[in-house]
Amino acid sequence: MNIVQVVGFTLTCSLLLVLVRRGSESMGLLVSVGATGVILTAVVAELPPILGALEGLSARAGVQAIYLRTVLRVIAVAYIVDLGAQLCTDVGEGALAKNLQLAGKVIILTMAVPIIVSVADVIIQLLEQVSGS
Amino acid sequence: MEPIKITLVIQIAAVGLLVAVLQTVLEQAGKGEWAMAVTVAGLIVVMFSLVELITSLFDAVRAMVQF
Repeated sequence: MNIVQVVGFTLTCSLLLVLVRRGSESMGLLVSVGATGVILTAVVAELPPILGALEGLSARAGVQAIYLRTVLRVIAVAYIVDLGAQLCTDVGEGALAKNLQLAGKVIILTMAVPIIVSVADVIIQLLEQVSGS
Repeated sequence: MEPIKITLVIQIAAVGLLVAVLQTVLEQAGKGEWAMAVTVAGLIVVMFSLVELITSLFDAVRAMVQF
């Protein structure tokens, strides 16, 4: 992924979008979805080394792998949901975008429940130790 | 460093412009219902290529964060 390449691609896509949107709005949405998909595919291909480094760091810090994985999942869901919501907003469907964001929040919450529960467990144990001693 | 696939976007934009032009021509010729059909056909054709792209993207993301 070359930054000049990405910028050039995005500008070209914007130009095409302006052109296509004047013809038909729905095709404009498809063009922007396509451009987003292409850019994201290029970005995702660059990510594995970074994730590997993060995993190595967290292993050295003694963090359990499942916590890092959950955080990564949450970030991925947040990005995807935000992307979809932004695309919806671009074609004027703000209400759908809000629904999508709500769905994303619920999904993130369901993924985060195990972590919340384990944090609560730790706190409860601490409180019991304090009150016991 | 894989190159960015700009051909796909240009392809979609070309279909979009073609559909827009066809729509205008058909509406000028007084065939509004055909204009609608052409628009829907163009949308479906583009959607098929997009579904492929989005599927591969989501597969890559899923493999990365191990869903």
